[in-house]
Amino acid sequence: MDNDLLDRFHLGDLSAFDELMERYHRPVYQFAYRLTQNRATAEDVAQEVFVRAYRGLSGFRRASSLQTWLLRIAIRVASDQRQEGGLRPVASLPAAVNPDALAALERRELEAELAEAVAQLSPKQRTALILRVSHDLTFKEIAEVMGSALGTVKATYHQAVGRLQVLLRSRSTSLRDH
Amino acid sequence: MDCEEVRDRLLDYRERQLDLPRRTSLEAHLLVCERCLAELRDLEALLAALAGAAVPEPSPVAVQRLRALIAAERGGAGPGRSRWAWWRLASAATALLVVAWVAVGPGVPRPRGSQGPTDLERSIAAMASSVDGSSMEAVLGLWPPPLPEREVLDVFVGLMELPEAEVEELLARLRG
Repeated sequence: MDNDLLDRFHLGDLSAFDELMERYHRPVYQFAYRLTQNRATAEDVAQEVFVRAYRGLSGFRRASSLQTWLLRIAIRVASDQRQEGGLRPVASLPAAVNPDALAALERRELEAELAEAVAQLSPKQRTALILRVSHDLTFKEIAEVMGSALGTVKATYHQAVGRLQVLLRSRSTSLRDH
Repeated sequence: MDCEEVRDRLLDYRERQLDLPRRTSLEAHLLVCERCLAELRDLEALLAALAGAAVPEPSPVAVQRLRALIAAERGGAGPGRSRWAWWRLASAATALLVVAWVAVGPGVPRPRGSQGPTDLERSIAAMASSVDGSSMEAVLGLWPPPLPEREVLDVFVGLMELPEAEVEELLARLRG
């Protein structure tokens, strides 16, 4: 399906890019949000990714999947933003939709703690973790996105999970209660 | 396996990265060790919480802004305007340049460095010239091409499939 979009784009069918955006905007934005933990920043990152993708799509050689290519651009854009001005302050999390207000509050606190712990990982650890856990990419796919060796990705992922376990160990309520 | 070995391998077990003998040995241990089983449950809960963490929807304004930006790109020298896909043009230009380079040889004077452009640099120059409309010779003659930072980065978008280290090196050279 992606090849079909790319073929149409190369033939001058501009609607092919609109379809590409429909297909990939949400996963790219979600990835950017999980990386940055800030909605406005994630929107900016996603925007920049698709503008760059539009300009560079003609040179895309299909050595990797479109998703891999877009996520690689997202990593670079997020890294550039980090170098330019750092992340903006973490926005507050959306309210959980839950009829039990106490459970909803605890859930939000849990997610805030998780977000804070993830933010303490290195950029590469955070990236490997998010791509595996939240986007369900295989280690091989993650290696392609990150431009790293497979063994390196697995080791980075292990480090990320290990670090999170240490950071969250002091949490009084077990994660299993949620 | 003892508890320490099991705990070291719980993530690999959960990620199905263990071979059959190790997996069997670990599972046998979990059958009789409540503590290690609890560690596995905690690990699974952590990963499930991460996977299920809420992501707010992007604002409608952000999506509209993106569409407007793409529309603006199309209104300018966007890649879709020409009947020819510009990458075909760049590829053709690159091929001609390779032929010219082979014919002329290393005697062509260059303003910087002692070596001529590599094939990859020629590809970059081909794309760069397609972006700003200048001739291939003009771009290469001024190597590195005097493109605004933004256009330099955009040129590399098409090359993002290259290994990271190679992209970084080329970016550094282009920025002078």
